[in-house]
Amino acid sequence: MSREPKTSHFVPISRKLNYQPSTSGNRRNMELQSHFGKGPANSMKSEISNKRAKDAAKKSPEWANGLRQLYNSVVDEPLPDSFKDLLSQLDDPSQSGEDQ
Amino acid sequence: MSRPERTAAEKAAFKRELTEVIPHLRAFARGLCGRPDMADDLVQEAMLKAWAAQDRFEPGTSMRAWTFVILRNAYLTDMRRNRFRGEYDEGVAERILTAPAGQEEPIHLSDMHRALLTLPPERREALLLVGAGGFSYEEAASICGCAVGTIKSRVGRARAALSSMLEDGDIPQRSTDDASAHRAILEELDEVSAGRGVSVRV
Repeated sequence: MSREPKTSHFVPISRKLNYQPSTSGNRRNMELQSHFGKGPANSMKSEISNKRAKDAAKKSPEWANGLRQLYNSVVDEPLPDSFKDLLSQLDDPSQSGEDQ
Repeated sequence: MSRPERTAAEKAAFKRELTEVIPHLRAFARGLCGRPDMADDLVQEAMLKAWAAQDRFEPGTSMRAWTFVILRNAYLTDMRRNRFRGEYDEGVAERILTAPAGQEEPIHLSDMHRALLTLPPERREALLLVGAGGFSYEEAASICGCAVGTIKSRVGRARAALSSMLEDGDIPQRSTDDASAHRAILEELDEVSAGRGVSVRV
């Protein structure tokens, strides 16, 4: 924890911010849960958290929430049009996405 | 030897399930290869392969796990062709990881993503599946085609490496020194303009 960084111009994040791992992490997680508590992808999340609780939750470092947040931030992005085009082409390969 | 071709209803059900897992495929792909544009290309490739192979999907099983295997194989194929080598883009990753407004420590996330991308691919993948995607060790092992013990060991090593990097603030830089120095300056400007610059000591 107290080890000096090896690179000269990299400032550890814990020094740049008033970084308080446990308390702020919990609050952030609560905000996230409300932020992510909507959308079609969330049907899978309860199933996910059950399994996670069994496997990994016993020793989760304070950054573990960030890892899920990283993943969920992409899950919750709106789907780009290219995916909708691709999906519509699946049914009818003759229909090109460039038509509309 | 093979089942009769799927009915229209079965195809529709398959498509619905495939559509539902796209956001998860995108998240997994982005964790694997770092760059959003390449990740999305990978997902589209995997979707087309999944669609073509839908007769092999067992209805009632996990579409997410099944498509992750396809995505992973597409990624590994591309890796072997060196498509992703050295392609990590600091600027793009920074934008992805910017946390929603009002959230504390937004940079923390990008540090984590950067640290994640420095892990060896098989450990990164294991950690993504278990720690981010929420798969059990058993599911992750079946997605990666390896033993459960191997997954546990990879996840453990990945966690240890991330902990050491994040808690010591010792994250290897992938970019050139110029780029990282530039980024550090921009970050500090952001901190100062957000009124949090007081605690900065260089």
